[in-house]
Amino acid sequence: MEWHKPRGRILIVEDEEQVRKPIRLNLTKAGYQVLEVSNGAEAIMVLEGDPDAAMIDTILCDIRMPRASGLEAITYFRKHYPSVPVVVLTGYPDVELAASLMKQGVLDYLTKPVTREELLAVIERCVDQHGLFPNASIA
Amino acid sequence: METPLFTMRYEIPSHYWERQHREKGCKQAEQALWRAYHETEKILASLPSSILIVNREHQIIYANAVASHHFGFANSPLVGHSLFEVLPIPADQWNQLTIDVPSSGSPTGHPLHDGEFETQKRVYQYRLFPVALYGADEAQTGLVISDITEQKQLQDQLIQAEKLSSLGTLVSGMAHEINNPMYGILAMAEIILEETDPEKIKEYAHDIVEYSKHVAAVVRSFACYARPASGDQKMEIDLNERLIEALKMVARNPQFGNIEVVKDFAAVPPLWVRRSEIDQVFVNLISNAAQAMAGHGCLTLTTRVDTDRIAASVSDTGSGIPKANLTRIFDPFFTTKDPGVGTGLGLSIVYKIVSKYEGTVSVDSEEGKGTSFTVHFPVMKLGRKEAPDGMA
Repeated sequence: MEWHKPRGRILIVEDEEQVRKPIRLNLTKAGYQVLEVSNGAEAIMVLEGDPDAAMIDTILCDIRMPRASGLEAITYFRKHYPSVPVVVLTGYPDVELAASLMKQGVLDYLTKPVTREELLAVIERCVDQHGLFPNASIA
Repeated sequence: METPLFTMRYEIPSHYWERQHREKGCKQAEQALWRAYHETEKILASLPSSILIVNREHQIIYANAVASHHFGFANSPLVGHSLFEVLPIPADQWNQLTIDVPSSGSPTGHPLHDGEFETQKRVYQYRLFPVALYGADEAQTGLVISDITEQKQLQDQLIQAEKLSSLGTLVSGMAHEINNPMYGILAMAEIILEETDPEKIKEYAHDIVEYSKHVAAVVRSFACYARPASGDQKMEIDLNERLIEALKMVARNPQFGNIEVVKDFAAVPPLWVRRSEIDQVFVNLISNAAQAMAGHGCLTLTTRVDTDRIAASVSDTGSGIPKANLTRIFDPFFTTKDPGVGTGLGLSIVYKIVSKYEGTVSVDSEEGKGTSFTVHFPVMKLGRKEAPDGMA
């Protein structure tokens, strides 16, 4: 069996399996390695226990989740892993929230339902950016 | 048809006549008495409410003109008919209401009980009072009946307006609840388009079916909540189930945050009510609790049976209500929320709906510690499934 180096490592932070499953299928098929957690607290635990956490190429994060919400988790990501691009994928089309998250350094704000092309385009852009400047802090 | 007051036994004491005869003359006294009688009749006939007097055998012994106009028969006076032929009040309910009527009655007796009934698309409220007529061996029961159809319609409109206002905040939760499975449906359909393995196609198609059912269930629950209660029939409902459904609706809202939920449910008898009204009560109470906790705290939902009453409590560990506000929280338009956040109608609607089912609402609050709202419903009257639909 031929082994291909993954195009990048993506951390999915999403409580609903009905959302995680198609993202996992789409990203895996597109050549990405996928890590999955179901809430912000788990995401923080995974990152803290992963010595290569900073090598995660993109975090795709929901907002409304049980335990630590997406907003709390994003604040943590931006503080401890400022070079890792964060993309929000949420069910709430909220312009004010999107603007506020962008100010915190979130690279994109996608609202569900999003097409595969849109999702892959955003992920590819983030992974490319992280690949080019792996240690650069995203303002 | 108007019934003369004198169909009731009313005898003029003989010594009265003798005195009148002696002092002013028989004719003058008779005229005065007749004038008093006619004036009393006119007053009773001019009242905007219907008045009926009923004896212990449930037979009508007096009806004023308004009663005859609203409930009378074409060719027969109301007097002599059984009350149950005339008004849609169930006999067991009547017996329950009149059980406290003192056997001797009191001429200045206080009103005893209120009730409502619906007939010919009009809603009436009645109030019972004891009557002790001169010479009668036992007390009769009087009814004052008022047409409250317009009042009820206004009340229903107010309840609906408040519900639509709360829907505004619930709808963002609905967006989340629908957009998640919508994404699943869209993404799985895209994956199927490129998938060649029949087993996988079958699996993904099955996922789409499940996600679609989820969307349908969410839309159905919101549609049930949003529709006017006036179009809703009374039905048997489980308070525990309604608390869970109301919680689901409120918890979808992003402002619900990370509130911990504790459910302490007892097996409670069913209530015979309009489901959407009870949903509105719980949605309002749970929304308030969530707002008081600002995304962090513990929400406790409790049900229990206290002898002949069912109790449901919604408790939070939020900011609590200042003592000065406790007496005003059920007043319409009283709010401490920012403009545009609350209408100030939520708790007054809770009070109106619960009162409608002969229930009570109580509040226990301590500033800085939290608030607990408890609604009590009577078991016996509401658990009675055979109550006719017309009974409002």
